[in-house]
Amino acid sequence: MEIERISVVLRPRSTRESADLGAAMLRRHAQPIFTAWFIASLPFLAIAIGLALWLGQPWVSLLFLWWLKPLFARIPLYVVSRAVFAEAPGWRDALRSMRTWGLQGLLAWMTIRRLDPRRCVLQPIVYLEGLDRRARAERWRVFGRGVEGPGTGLALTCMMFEWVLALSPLLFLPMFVPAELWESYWFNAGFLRTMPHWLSLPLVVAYYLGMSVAEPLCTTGGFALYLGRRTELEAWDLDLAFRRLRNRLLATATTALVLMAACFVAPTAHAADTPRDVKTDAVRVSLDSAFPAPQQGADQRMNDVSGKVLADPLLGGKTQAWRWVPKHPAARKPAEIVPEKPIVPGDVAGAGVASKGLLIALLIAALAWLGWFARQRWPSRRGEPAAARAPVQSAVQETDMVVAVPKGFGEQVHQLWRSGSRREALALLYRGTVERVATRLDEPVSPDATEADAIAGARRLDDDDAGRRAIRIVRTWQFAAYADRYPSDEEMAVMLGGWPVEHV
Amino acid sequence: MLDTVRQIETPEGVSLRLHAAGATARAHAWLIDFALRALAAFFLLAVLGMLGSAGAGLGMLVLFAAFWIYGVACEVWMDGQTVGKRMMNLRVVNADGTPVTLLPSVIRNLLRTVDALPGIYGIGLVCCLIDPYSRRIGDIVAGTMVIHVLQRGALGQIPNEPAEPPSTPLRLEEQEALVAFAERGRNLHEARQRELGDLLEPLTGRMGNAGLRKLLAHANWLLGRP
Repeated sequence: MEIERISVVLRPRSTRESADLGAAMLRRHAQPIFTAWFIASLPFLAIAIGLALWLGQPWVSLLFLWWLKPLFARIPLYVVSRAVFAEAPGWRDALRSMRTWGLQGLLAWMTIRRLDPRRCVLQPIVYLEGLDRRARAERWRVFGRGVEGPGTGLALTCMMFEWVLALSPLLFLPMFVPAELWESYWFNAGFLRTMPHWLSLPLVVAYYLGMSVAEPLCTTGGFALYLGRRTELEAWDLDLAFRRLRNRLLATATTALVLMAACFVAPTAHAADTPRDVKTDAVRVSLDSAFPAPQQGADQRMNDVSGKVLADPLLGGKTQAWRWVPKHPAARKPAEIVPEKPIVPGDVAGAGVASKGLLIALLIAALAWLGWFARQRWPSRRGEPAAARAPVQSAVQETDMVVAVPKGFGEQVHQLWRSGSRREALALLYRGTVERVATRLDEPVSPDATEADAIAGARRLDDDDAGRRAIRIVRTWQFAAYADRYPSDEEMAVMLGGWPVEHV
Repeated sequence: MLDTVRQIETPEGVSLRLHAAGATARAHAWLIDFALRALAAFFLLAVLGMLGSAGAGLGMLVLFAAFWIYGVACEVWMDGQTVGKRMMNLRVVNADGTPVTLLPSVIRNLLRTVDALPGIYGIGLVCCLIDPYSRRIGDIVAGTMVIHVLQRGALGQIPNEPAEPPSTPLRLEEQEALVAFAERGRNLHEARQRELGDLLEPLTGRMGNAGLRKLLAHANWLLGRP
């Protein structure tokens, strides 16, 4: 077995992925496998159909076909195993394998081990490794540990696939039975109670077709499991990589030897050849010799590579489009004028009545909406516009505010407070306080100072009591301005007594 | 070379490898999902059946959700995996390897009706067996595929050995092979280990067990161990 010639990618695979590799191998080599399969098995299908017609019992034929599966399974196994390590054989070779492999193992498969679900993974050992029975049992003990379960699972899954594929065409049949025939035909004819005689033929053929897909799938999947297990046990992938590395190292070693030899030999040879006193002509350099014009097809490798790159569909290479074109384009016939069939009122009476009702309902709804709109929403009838547009009561009343704080602002605050403009009163009090604090600190009032700045300023005052009073006023102002919470008259009186209102 | 991997090269030159999942693994995942949904629907319908006709209406909604919404919801919110797919280590991704989004998921689950014809997934199975990446019709139309989620083995299993650089620089795949050998070598038969080690005599300059130790040292060096 030469691993270098292997035609599948060797890598450690999970058993599920190995089964998928089996399906890929079946796809790749479908042509020889199925040609040989059908040639070998169609005579047996004929026998099975004959049995079904003769005995009138389709299950005998199904059993017969099922029984023969191990015989046919050797075809896909042969093709796939040869294709992995060498050239893929043709269908003739595959058919010949039926003879060359002889009866080895086949008798057991078709009698005592017919029900063994591990057949798909055991087959490669029996047919490909050529061990005698004792050695085979020994080998299976080691080998089977990792693939027994997956092999059984694969066989069961393929059995399921077989029945899906077999029953699908049969289930398509009732889908094409017209609904009005359905009841009379299927039930009154007693179809569900006794299967009609003629159905045994399609059943046998459908089973045969399902088997023809599922059994090769099972066999190639089993072979892929076998390959995966051997890769795992014997590290075939590493073997391959190591062999490549070894070949590369040996090749570079040889090249290095040759180069070294050339280096030693070449200068001495030249020294002997070239007469010392003869001057060689200076090399003439021209533009053409330095930059030779690219010749068509001069660099074949470059052309190949660029051709490949340009053929990449991502770079807008050629694409193939398929479409149907009539073989014999017929001359255009003038369209025949078919007199229109008059619509008989009875044809679409139901739909007509329904759509008429719908339209009338829509019309009534539209009229009703128009009436409602005219009564309620017509601009000139919208009730009292004054009430609708009543302005929202604002907490801020427009008053003539003097921006500058008057000298004795306490009196003005009093007046505003008593007249009910409490917010304005507090605003004035706040501004006055800020100015007084600034005067005490001997700092100018910054126009963008916030309440926080005012509090910070008040904290810097030498007089703690004055600071506390100023902070209290600022806080009161904040409660009023942001939360609409006003102090009582007594609190107001406390704030207005003493610094900062009464003296500077 | 035959493989079931779809290789995608990104504009940045990173090559993504999508391990396409075949019909068998997908069928198992579907069976698990089907069993789960059937069980859940059975119990819910048994409870709702006691509620009379209102319960029957709710039951219809439950069946609708189990049939149409289960797949989309799982794929979009559970990282491309229904419960069955998670148990089988499968995942739905867009054909370019990105996580599946709402629209492709809806399309591939709507086209389930076609794949499920004639009621037992005959068309889906045939399509899955023919397509090189095992996609059913819904996958082909939505531009998605189902892939195996690979479990990475831990590098910690490589035995320690004082690191030693190889005598010649190695290519990437050769480095990978050395590390893989250090990882999996212990599972091989001893004679087989020596046989493989002797193949690399030009690299190690030793035969037998000494060569094996040298290979381990190289692998340790490649992994950046002291």
